[in-house]
Amino acid sequence: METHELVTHSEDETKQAAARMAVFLKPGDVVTLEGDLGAGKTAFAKGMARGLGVKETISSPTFTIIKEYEGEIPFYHMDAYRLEYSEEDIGFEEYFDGDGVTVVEWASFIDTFLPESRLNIKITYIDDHTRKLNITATGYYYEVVLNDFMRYL
Amino acid sequence: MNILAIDTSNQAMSVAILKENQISGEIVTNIKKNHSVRLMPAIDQLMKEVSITPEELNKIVVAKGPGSYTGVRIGLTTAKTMAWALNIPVVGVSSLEVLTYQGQFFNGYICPFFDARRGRVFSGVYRWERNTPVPVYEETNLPMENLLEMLAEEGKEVLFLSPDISAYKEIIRGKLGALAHIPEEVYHLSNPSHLALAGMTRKAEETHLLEPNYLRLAEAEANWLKQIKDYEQNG
Repeated sequence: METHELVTHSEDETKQAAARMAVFLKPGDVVTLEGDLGAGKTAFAKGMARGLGVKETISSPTFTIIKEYEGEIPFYHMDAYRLEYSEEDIGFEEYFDGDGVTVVEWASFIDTFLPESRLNIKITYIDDHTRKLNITATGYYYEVVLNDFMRYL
Repeated sequence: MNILAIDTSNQAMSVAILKENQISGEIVTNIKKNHSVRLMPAIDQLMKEVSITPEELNKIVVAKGPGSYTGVRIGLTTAKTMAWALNIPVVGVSSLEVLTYQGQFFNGYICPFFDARRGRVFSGVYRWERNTPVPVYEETNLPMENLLEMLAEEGKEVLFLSPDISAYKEIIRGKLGALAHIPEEVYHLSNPSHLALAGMTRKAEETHLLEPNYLRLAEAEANWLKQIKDYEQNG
């Protein structure tokens, strides 16, 4: 397991970091996002989508649970918030093993279904503009991804 | 009676139109592309080719899974929406049952299956009696090894049908030897006209009540797997 900390000073900077991270990802990769409401999970997801070459506007998938976007690499945006008390498999593996990069918000609610190797990002509110990102990689593959990302940041 | 049959439950996307028990046309593709983008244009194209208008349809038959969750949802949503808008009945047929039709002249057990990842398969065992597939083992989601052990114990001849056959040929032959019958690749895809046939005489359910046949792990089993995972992670 590999952990790094990153502090961003504006929403734009958070998005930029996410877009940069996207460059190191490939189809079938899974990134989970944790953080309180308003911490900036969706901002991060938007940045990541931009980094994957998605042209469409990203909106919250809280209602639909999953949204798919076309990019240079497809982008699957999930929000597990409404699945808190559900043990229901809605076909997660098709996305995690799929042709795109998957970002999961409120991932802890679908813990059972998450792949063990993944990139985990915890966003913490510091003040109105500042956020702390704790990025954890599990599995050798993601450790390499994370180290590359930190090196080029 | 004019029937539209739709199957997007696995990698293949297939659509058929039957007019009075005759196949008017079929569209089948077996490629890794998004069903959600391609299904409606395919239906539209086929209906135009065979000169049938939506108002002339009398029934829709849809493969309700198991298979890809996303694929199953696309087929069911499309079928239910059309049925509701046109005010005609919609019937769901198990995707495994439809595949069984490819083996209808085989005198023994017919075992259709779809890969369910991690060594598991969606499968059931059927035998063909009086023009219908009769279930021998209920459809379920189980490890391929268990299925093959059950079949080996029975000691009967089994025909295996699956779009995922290539990944399983070796293990099947290993466990069942000469009892296993595996036809050439082209027999392993479901045929949408078989789907139409299977649903032709079946009574329609209420449109809104038609549900996917995901065959997901029973909730208890899912919880049990979670416990094992938690134990492995935290000791």
